[in-house]
Amino acid sequence: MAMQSSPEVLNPGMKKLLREKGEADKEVDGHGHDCFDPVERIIKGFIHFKTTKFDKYPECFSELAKGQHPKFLVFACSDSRVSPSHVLDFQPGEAFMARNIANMVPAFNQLRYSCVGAIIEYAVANLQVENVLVIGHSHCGGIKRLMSLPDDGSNYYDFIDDWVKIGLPAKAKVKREHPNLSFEQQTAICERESVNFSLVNLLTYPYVQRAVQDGTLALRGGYYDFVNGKFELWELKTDITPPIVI
Amino acid sequence: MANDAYEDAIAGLTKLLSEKSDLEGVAAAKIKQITADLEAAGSRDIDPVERMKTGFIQFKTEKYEKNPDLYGALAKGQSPKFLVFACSDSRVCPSHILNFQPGEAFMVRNIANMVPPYDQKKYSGAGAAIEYAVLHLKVENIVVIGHSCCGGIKGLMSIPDNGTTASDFIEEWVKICSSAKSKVKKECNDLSFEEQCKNCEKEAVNVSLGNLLTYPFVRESVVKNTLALKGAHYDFVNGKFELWDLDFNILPSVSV
Repeated sequence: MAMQSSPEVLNPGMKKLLREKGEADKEVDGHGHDCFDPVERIIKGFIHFKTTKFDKYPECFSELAKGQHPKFLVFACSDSRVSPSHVLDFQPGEAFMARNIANMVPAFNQLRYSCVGAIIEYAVANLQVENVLVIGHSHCGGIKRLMSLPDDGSNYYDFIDDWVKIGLPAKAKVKREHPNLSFEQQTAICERESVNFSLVNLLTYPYVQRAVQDGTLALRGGYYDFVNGKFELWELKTDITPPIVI
Repeated sequence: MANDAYEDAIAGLTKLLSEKSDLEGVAAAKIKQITADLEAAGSRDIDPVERMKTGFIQFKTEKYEKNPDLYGALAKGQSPKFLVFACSDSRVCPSHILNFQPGEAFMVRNIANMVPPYDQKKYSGAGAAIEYAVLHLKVENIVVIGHSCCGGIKGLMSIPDNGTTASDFIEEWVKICSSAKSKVKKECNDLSFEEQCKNCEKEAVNVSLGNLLTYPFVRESVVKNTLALKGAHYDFVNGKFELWDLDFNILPSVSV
């Protein structure tokens, strides 16, 4: 195995050259696939960004080059249809982003979930975001798998089954509260319910707990229904009621 | 607060307007300008709920409702050609920098865009995404995108040699690419810390590409030539993008 050490560096002056290079790549691409050329697609995509955004708003991007101060940490599903940059129109610099299967937030666990832990620690303790938003969505393959897991706890997939089991408490709640609904209806409810369990799991991280208690961090749930073009938004409130004096 | 001052000004102008009707045009222009200023000031100190509402309405009216065919097809299923690993950094979303449209790219975003090696106990999150994308969706390309000024890579490069860590998770996570750090420290010892970090941003991508091959389903697809592995680096200081391939060849055996 060898690393090719001739990366293509993109800058506007090289556009034409790149187009030719793109053509050349297409010819040597041994996949023999239809007209879709991934290299060409990536080059085109970056040139579009560079000409319509990066070069157009130099103040904005030079400011961002100095540092980021996002107000949001967003957990969204890896699903190709639910990018928050599209769905909520987040612009560069606005949202620190975690994307995984079924937008799950596991509880604090240094041995098993350092990936999610590192994101939360960085966003909340270092960047001091003011909002954490967990967004579920319709037709989520991960939640469907969670709802389909056999009761005996056995796994079929190497990773997927184990990962979505983070949502088992949500599944149990849905099965308990809605035993008579169809599988599809139960799954749709679980897509929202697992967001709620993720919000509660966020509180197991000491920096989240502290910031929520200080009133500097809000925890919000969201649900994007891409079949009907709807978005739901709610908040986890952890108010302490006024004491009753006896 | 500034808002009160604006509202007083508007109230004053409205009063003036009712008294001197010939000033109507001037006052109307003034009110319009003040309102615009007020809106601009408001957007700096954002109300997160308002921000999300306007964001979704923008998406819905400008994209969702304008492309019913696309969104109708996507509601039935996804068949992205790409699985992309990018950093959680708010400045590097591939939907922006590569203009990926809904349906095009299955996305993993984590600290320093790292792909850990196959490990069912420690890294089920990344494993699940790769497994779903490669086995279930049959993506044809995996792209790992590093970027300039990466806080995660800086964290990795700053871990003291004795290995002590000061964070709950961050350092433990970025250690996935420790071998990139060692390589850079060995090969670029004379460079400044910043330069070393920049080199490590790219080397770490290569370590991730190597780690992808520890997943049997990735290896199998790469050997069958149905999956390509690519590395990339987005430099947001200079507005540049580099792209490279992981060449995976099995050489014909040599008989001696």
